[in-house]
Amino acid sequence: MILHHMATWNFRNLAPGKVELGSGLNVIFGANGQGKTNLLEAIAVLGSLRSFRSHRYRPLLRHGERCLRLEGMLGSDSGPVALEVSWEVGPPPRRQLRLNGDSVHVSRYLQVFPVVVLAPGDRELVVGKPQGRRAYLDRLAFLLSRRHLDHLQRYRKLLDQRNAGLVRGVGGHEMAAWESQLAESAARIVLARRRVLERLEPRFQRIYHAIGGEGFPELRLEYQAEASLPPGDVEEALAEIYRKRYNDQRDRDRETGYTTAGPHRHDLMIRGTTGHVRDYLSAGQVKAVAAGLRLSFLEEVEEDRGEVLPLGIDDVDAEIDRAVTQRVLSLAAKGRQLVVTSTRAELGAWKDGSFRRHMVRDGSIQHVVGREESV
Amino acid sequence: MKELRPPAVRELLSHLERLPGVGPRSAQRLVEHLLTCPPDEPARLGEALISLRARVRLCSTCFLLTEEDPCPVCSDPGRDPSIILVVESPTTAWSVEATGEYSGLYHALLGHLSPLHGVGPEDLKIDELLRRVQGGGVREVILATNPTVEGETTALYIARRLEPLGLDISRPASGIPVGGEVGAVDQVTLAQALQLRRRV
Ligand SMILES: [Zn+2]
Repeated sequence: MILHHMATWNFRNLAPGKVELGSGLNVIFGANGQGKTNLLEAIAVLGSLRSFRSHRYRPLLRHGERCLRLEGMLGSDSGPVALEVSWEVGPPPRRQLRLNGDSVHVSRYLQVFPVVVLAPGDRELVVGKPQGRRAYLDRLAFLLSRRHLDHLQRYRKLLDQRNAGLVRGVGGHEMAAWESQLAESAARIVLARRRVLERLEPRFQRIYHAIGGEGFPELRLEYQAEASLPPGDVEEALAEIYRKRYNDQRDRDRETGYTTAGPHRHDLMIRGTTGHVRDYLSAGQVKAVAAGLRLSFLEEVEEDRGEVLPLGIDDVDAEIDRAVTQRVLSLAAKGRQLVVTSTRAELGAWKDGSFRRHMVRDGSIQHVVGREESV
Repeated sequence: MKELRPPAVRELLSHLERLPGVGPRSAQRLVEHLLTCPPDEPARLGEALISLRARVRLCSTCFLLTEEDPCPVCSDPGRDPSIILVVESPTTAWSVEATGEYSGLYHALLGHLSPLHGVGPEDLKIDELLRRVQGGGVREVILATNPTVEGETTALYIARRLEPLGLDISRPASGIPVGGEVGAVDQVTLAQALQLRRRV
């Protein structure tokens, strides 16, 4: 899968227009603050509808403008696809998604371009709040099975209804009906996440060890649910456990108006031999774990789709642990289209296929033709 | 800038725009039509609007919309009184009836459970349904609430309340898209969903 070009209008400080991308390595270089990460961010939003720098759309909009638009042309084994995202500030804010010109639902759109970007903010995935790691697992589960998104939305609705019921003092019989449905939904999500993690774990181990060097600790990825939740993969058995738990905890939950058990509280634990790794990993080790999580995610989706996918790397020549970065880069290549940002035009020893450079200055992006064009 | 819309037009627009599915643009088109069509058309529309609320009420047994109480279904001796099909909204019953495949009675709940919106069992016609069933002669209840989170939970809640009465309780088979409305699917699909209903 290749992104042939990326076009933006009113996206941060980028000059409106189209950037052609090569099928091999694409280096977006420029001094800090010129906007080199913005192009990579636009690619991430085009594919995942999420930025790796902001949870909201508003900051993506060029100052003083009211709507932004992104367009990309994707080439994949199943044919070319034109993607388009437009967003209006509103109120109310309005987002429109198109595939080959046809307006589509978000769950259909998000299946098409499963972009992965390695970015400095990834350390949050390792050391930050559980929410980010749940989102990571859920996105992978969704890319492997589209229905996961419906299941998550259903769970969210049921959870909101139970919480409202707790607050309003809804009677026991009605609460039991909501809890029964919520329990089924919870069980389905826990099982989907466990299955995804089970597939991911060996891949993560291999990649993490390939990136890591001397003194990198042994790690395990673990799905952390309620302490007493048994293993097993029978949905109805798990649902029954949650039904009982919601029932038992109802009176206590009424005091806070909040449901204390269920997948909205779970975590993807990155466990070392002595507890959660966030407490003792070095900056370079955190970076290796984050890259391991991103690259194993990418490989998992690639295996499912039967083709390699584009990969973005922001700030590829960051000062933190350059050795780790070099190993990440060599693992990342493997015939993939790479889009990387860098403060330097040269990336050292790149011998792998075609090479295209773009210089970014004050939001305009210029293709730089040089002898490296094709190696 | 001058207000060019005469007061009577503004007045009508403000009423039309409050209707579901009508935005400012379509309200303008409706007004334009009403001002250019034959004059008896808006007059009859006005009469229809006034008599709607005066003549139409809910059947005191099944809560379908009707002009006579009991409604034509409840008072029809040819209908099978041993089956009751439960819907959220009376208009869903119209779609079921249009399949021509159903000959039992109806019961409209007039909504679904939703703690988020403060709607509980006492706000729906659930006790009325239980009383109908307890009155005897009912053998099967089909819970045709919408396949949404709220519709399904409402069905589950009612099924549990009916359970001690020992009758057949069923849900229409799938085929109605999840999150959709029972009344919004085509008649063939709806007829199949009713025939292939599952016991709960
Ligand atoms: Zn009636």
